[in-house]
Amino acid sequence: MVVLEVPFGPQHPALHEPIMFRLYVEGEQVVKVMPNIGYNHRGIEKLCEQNLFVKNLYICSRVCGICNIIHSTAYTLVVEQIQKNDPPPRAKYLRVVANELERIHSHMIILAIMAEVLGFDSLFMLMMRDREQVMRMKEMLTGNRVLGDYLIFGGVKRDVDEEKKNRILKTLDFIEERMKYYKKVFTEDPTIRKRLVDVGPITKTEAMKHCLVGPTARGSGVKTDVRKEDPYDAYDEVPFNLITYDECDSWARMMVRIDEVFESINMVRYCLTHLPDGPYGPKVLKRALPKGEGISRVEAPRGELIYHMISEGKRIPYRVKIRTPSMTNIINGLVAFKNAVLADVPAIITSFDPCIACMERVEVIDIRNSKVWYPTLRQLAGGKR
Amino acid sequence: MKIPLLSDILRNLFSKPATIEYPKVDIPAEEGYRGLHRVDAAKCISCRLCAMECPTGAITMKKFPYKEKEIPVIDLSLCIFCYHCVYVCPVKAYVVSTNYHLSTGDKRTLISEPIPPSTKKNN
Amino acid sequence: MSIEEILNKLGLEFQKMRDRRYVVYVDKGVLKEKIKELSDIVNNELYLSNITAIDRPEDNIFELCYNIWIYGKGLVSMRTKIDRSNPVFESIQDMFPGAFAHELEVHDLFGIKFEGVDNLWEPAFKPEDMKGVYPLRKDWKVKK
Repeated sequence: MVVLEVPFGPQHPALHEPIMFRLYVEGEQVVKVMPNIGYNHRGIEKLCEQNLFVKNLYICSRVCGICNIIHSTAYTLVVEQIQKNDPPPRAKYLRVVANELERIHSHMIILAIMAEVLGFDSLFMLMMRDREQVMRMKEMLTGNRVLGDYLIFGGVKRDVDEEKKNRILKTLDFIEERMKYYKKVFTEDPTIRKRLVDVGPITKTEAMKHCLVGPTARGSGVKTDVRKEDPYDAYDEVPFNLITYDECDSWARMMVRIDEVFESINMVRYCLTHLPDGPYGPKVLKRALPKGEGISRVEAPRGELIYHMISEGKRIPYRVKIRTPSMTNIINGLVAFKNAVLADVPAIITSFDPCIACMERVEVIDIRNSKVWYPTLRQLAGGKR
Repeated sequence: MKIPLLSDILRNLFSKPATIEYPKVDIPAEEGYRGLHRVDAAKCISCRLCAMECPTGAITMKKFPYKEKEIPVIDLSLCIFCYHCVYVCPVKAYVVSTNYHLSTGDKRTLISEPIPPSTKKNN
Repeated sequence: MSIEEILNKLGLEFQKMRDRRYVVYVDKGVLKEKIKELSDIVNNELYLSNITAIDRPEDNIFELCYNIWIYGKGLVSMRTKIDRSNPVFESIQDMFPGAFAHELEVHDLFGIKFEGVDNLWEPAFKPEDMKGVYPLRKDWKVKK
């Protein structure tokens, strides 16, 4: 049979971010997949070596829009490891509340996108309407719907009072009702089951050998979660369950995410009703970075995020290394395309939860005099050229 | 064969759309939203800490006729509204608001000037 | 067995950064065997988290850093030093097929060659006209 090469991306209605896969197909059967990456690489690691470590907090939290509080947490933890600075207990609980609200809204958006990719537009619209309530809760807590610049070295920037606490708890009850309804839809609807069950299988040994992380690995039965193994902030005091499913296909990966939303809702309720008293932030912001090294691991909605920072005693760090979960999952997870048909490819890619912004640069081409230059973040932000 | 979303679809068929027509209907922001911020010139001590630590370099120190030391001026086209300047100010000289209606057609209006000190003398 | 007992059994000197974080320096020729022995002692309950490189131009070396998480115990960061003027190292993709993504990034942005495999290509993360230019080295300056 003839083998054809079909490009999937970088511009495609099923993808929300630019990435390209070269699919080699024989008839309808996919034989081989080669990724082509680098459309969104912004050189953040090199940028972090040119700026003060206080400014890097705001640069690193803008690596990804959907999980920005998680990146902020990881960077703050690594600087606190080097500075030997411990936040007060109330700040640790408030950080857990912010991280779990981020996880709820990120899982809701990927469930809605999966419904849209399968063609089920009504479900997509209904889930996005309910997700707006979660964004309103984030606005009450941090001050902005999306980019919550909430964390600082040694604590958090704002406190939560009684009225905000009661409003958040009431909205969580509403979200829980709606998520129980959506779980029934994902479990019983015949269309969704036909498109997702037994599609893109990854066995447990393959998931462990290829070092997959997050719900992609937990949907194949691997018991791995950074919040249980290597607890940070207040996660050793807040009770929750580790969710795994054994079916190893795309359906199992989406069900892991639905169950994690219920666990996150219970965690936020526990934290808000058991908040310890005391200060919420540092008394004085420590502005010195001694010589040393730090490695921090954090559980993002997509997997394990690891930050590694080396400092030589100056206020500009020597090396910052960010390894995001999407990089490992997408490049190493091509083993899931073994028996796929061409129409299954968008469903499999969406079940990995790709966040290409977390993977990579911006290059500016001046058409007038055909010059290519690489701008810094400051030039891109507006004004000065 | 059951249709799972039937109750929701029928309810939505007989109710208003969920879209809020923004310029005609105002959406109030929550209390504590990070909107437009300005410096109160009477309290500022010119320590320059906000200008040194702004991540994008949006704050510059300028001289005004009503005070002898320099006062920060914010360039809103570079500002990312992270409120780090509000957090680190030692005398809490920034006045915050929830105003987010900042879009304009003229880029020269995107400067946030400080509030001049009041000229009324208290009795 | 705790991590300290395991590292003593392998004959490696370690430094403890804090709880559950250990740093080990290994010689260049024995790194792969030490990872294999470690994997045999803990019964393959390992997870390769990251491969990264640190550029030290004043000592003329690259430090390659393998961050390995041992389930139930802690993170061990195994480091080795290779020559900066001719950076070549052996690949561990036969033990861990999941090292492909990390070796691709190190090969692309630092210029370190991994021998024994042929599935690394360049430019992967960089734009097409930057072949042969390695931006994360210290001597490549950001143009203002």
